[in-house]
Amino acid sequence: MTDISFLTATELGPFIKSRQLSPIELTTHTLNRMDNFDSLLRTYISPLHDLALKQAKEAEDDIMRGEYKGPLHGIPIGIKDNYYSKGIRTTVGSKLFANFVPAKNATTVEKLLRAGGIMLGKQNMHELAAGSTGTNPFFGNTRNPWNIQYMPGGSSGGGTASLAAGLATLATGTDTFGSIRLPAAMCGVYGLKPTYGLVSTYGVFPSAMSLDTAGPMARSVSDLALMLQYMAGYDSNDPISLNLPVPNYMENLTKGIKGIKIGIPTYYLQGLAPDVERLFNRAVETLEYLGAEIKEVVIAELSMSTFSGYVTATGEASALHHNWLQTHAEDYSADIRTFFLASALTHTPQYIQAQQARRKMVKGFHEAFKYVDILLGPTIPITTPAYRKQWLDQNLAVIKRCLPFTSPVNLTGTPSLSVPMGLDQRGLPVGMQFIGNHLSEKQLLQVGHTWENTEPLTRHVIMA
Amino acid sequence: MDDANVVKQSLHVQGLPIFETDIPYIQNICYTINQAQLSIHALPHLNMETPITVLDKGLIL
Repeated sequence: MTDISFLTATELGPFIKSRQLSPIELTTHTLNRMDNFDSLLRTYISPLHDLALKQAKEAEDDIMRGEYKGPLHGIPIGIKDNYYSKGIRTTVGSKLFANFVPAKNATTVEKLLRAGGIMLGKQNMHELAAGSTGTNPFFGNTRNPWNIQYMPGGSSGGGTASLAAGLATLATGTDTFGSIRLPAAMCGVYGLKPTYGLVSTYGVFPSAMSLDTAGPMARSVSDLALMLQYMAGYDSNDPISLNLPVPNYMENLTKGIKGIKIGIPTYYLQGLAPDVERLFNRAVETLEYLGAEIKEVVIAELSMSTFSGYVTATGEASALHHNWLQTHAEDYSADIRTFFLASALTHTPQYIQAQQARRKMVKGFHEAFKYVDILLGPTIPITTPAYRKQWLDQNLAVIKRCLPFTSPVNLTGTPSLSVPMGLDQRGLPVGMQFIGNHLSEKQLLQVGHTWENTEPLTRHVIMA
Repeated sequence: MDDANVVKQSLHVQGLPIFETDIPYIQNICYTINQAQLSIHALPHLNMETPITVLDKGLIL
């Protein structure tokens, strides 16, 4: 068998099922890589060696008894540290919750473990899931495995960096204004922000409740589909959970994109860095060659994304943190504190207008989807920045540049799939996002899988 | 609105802490929001939209 470090869950599953690969061997291999590389990359806040090996032993015993649970059985998974894990500290990347130990698992953690997944550890994140770079003054900055001088993006940067470096096979993320897709783009992996309410957020520490979404991150689209299959579904504990049947996300993956209408909102063509523009134009040509029908579309309502995104995200997060900010302000890093405190200067009419703008934006999307099947744009307009010493300025500047590209789907509750589209001239990954109508994940995954087969990244990260 | 003293006053009346070094950044974020708010003028009839609906989800689906 080839090096298992970068195999996907879809590739590993048959080896585990047929007993050619033991879950203990796979888990030990991944834990060894964590030991070798994670002091540098800081993708985990709490690695869980003993628990992972215990779960791997249980998986191996099950399989040897002929009780194979399915394609997640024995697969190592990194869990973002804002998902509650029973009896295991869940810091939310924050000093404020450094010693918080939940009494229960998040619904999604419970589902992934019940399916036989191995919890490798709790993964690093931008503090309180409220930033976009991956700095964390309390648990260490996560570094981008493609070049450790560069940021991995955030807030789910621990997960995406671990996937890129072969320190996990799958990872969970959350996305409030881009926190799955932005780091997926910067680290060259795949990330899905599902329809609002499709995946339970019960037991996931909130950031801005009307925007928060939990979702899968992986090294392939098939793996995203696989994870979503287990993560999606109604949860009576979650007031926003959609009570709908879960479709088979795997069944259309190989159907191709011939005849699919892809719209490119002109909004997403403004202010692109030269490398992003070059790679995006090339990707559009490739999709057209593969049989998609491409056309530009105008969705004027998207121009309200920055206003609505800032006001909603800061307002809801600030409301949640109001009491803690009054009493423990020094326990927040300066970027998060200023982001939250800024909402103290916004006014109720602005919040109301931001919600009215969201309704307009939903209508704008629905109108566009009368004419196209999906929408396409760069995930973010910039290439990955190197970490700067003035990290506070940098963190707020990255949000300002990227939020207009990532927040429209959070504001409208629509799904979006970020995929790598190539490497920039410095050898760092760049991403683009397919955006679908509500509950169109199956089609997004189908299109994403077709794109993935063009092998947009020519190589893996080389960790030495 | 974005004057440093107004920022401090707004924080103070809400019982929120004042860190001198935070003030320029807070002003910067507020400036971004206020500039971005101009975008809503391009889309008329915003008040035709109900901002928040409290309705049992079972009735919607």
